[in-house]
Amino acid sequence: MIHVGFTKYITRRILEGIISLFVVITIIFFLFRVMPGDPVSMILDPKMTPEMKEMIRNSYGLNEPIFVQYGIYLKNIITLNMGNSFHYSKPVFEIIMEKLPNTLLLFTSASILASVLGIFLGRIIAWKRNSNTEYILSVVGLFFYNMPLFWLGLILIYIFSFSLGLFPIGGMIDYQLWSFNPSIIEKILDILHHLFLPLITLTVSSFCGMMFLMRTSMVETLKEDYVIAAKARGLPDKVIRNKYAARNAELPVITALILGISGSIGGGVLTETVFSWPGIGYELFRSTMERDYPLAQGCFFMLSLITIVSVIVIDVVYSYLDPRISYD
Amino acid sequence: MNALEINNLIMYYELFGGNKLMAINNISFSVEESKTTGIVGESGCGKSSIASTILKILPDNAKIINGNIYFKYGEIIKRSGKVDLLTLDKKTMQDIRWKGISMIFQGAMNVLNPVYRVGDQIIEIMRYKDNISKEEANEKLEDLCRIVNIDSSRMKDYPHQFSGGMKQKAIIAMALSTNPKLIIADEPTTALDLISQYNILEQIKKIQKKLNMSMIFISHNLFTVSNISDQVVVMYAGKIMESCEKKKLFENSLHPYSIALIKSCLSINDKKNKLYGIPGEPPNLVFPSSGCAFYPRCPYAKEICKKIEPEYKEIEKKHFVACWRYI
Repeated sequence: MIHVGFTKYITRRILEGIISLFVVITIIFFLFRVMPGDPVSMILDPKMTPEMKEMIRNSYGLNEPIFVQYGIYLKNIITLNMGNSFHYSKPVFEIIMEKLPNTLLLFTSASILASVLGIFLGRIIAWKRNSNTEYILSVVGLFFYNMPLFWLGLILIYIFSFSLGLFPIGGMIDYQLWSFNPSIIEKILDILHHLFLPLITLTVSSFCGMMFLMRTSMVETLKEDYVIAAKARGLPDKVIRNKYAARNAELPVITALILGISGSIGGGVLTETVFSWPGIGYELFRSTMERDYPLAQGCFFMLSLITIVSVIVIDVVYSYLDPRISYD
Repeated sequence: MNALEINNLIMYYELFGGNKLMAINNISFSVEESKTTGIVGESGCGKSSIASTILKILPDNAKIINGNIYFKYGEIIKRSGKVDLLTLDKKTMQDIRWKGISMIFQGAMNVLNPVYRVGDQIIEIMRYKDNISKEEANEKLEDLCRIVNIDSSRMKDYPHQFSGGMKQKAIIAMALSTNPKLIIADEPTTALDLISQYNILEQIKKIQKKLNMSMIFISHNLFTVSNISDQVVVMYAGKIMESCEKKKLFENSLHPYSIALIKSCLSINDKKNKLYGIPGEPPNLVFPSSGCAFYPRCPYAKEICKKIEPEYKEIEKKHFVACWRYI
């Protein structure tokens, strides 16, 4: 329920979020410093004189003591100045802002689709326990759940793109099509066309967890007094299933969704890489491989920010779903 | 004319490992139209199982293997005369529920759906069962609030904002909301203080008279049962020990268990007497011994009580007893 305590609650949650974010960026910073390899080697020309190399190192601040570097790093992050990418020679912030919508599109649609599908199927198998439906859905779900994500992605690419030619192999847009100034609808259709396979990969591999959680949770609520009482009242089965058993079973599943989102970041990186989806995960993978410190740091920062924000959002949504939660 | 008639009902719970817990062991009793039958007995004697069996809301491991439950009002499901509830299919049984038989649940704490407003839950069932408009349902809700003595503005609250007593009252209101022919009240006032208990019981009696409802009143409290009932059934270990009119139970109870039960209740008149307790423990329902269920605790136990179970017999009109002393 939303009342006076709500603003206070939100403020507290945002403060907590900022603290988590601070911890994350600190870890990211030190993680990169202890990694083996010299970042400057990527941009230095072997023909350069040692003086020139020193100059470049100095210009990137790599000769400063590590805590001075950390201080500069913090100051820069707060002012959203995340430096220039070694690879692109462009401000990191600019690159991230360019990639962020792509990642959000893939993540949000996959999370929503997986939870809707998981809750829907979990409700069915909890209601029809020990039926063939439960058996088949469990086997299919577990099959995909245990399959490595990138492998599933590759298989889908092989079948639907390579063999059948139904979907593009990777990327997000068809450059050839876009160069002809297509209409908005054509653009949207093209993006959806590219989105389909990565979306299916992420959804198929993660809905099963939600499905089983929903099933377990609902098997419990089916034994609750209020469900038995609703049965005793002779309410239609559909009402008992949806308004009584499933509605209450969803609550712990939503909590799991919060944990699932942070878990799906890793899956997101893999999926974006396999499908060359121009998002933050793909950029993170590439910049880490190339020791593009500023960009990798920026990507990590952004992914953490997405996670923290979505957790706060789900927390707030939760209060709408469960009237017993109040913010005092 | 009987509103409800139960004949030779046997129901057991199948336990893990294949054992059977005989919860209802060959029980027969009836509820007269617009009268109240009280069921009294200690915890675990099968009182609530009878309620769940009548409404057919038993858990999956419960098996009914014998008996009939005849319900008089076949017209609710468009049939004439009485119907055997145990032979009805799921859909028809759903129509009987709350229009024919409603129930006041024991342990009100968790009976209301935590995510919907209390009033909405009562309105929901009225609209499903009676096909009335929202306005009519709201009006009726106001009436119900007056009957059970809840401020009607509180109906916009969620169950967790109600106290235990208020939840119990809301559940009573819900059971009355569709004017059922028979109400099963399973420990309806246990969660309430004595004064509310009295008031609610009086209200229930009044409504019962007004709407001509029959009632099964289940409680472990002999005095609450006797206050409201016309006929009293005394249960022990899944069986009926004695059944008679309430007046007779206090004046001329026959079964040793009934006698002991009455003796173990406090009376206002005799202050000096120590409270009596029945020695021993209730029997194991999974591995019952042969003979009469009560004989290990019975002061009058004879050799035959150990071996053969006494028959449940009508000794005089409307007075049944199962004891070797009266055969």
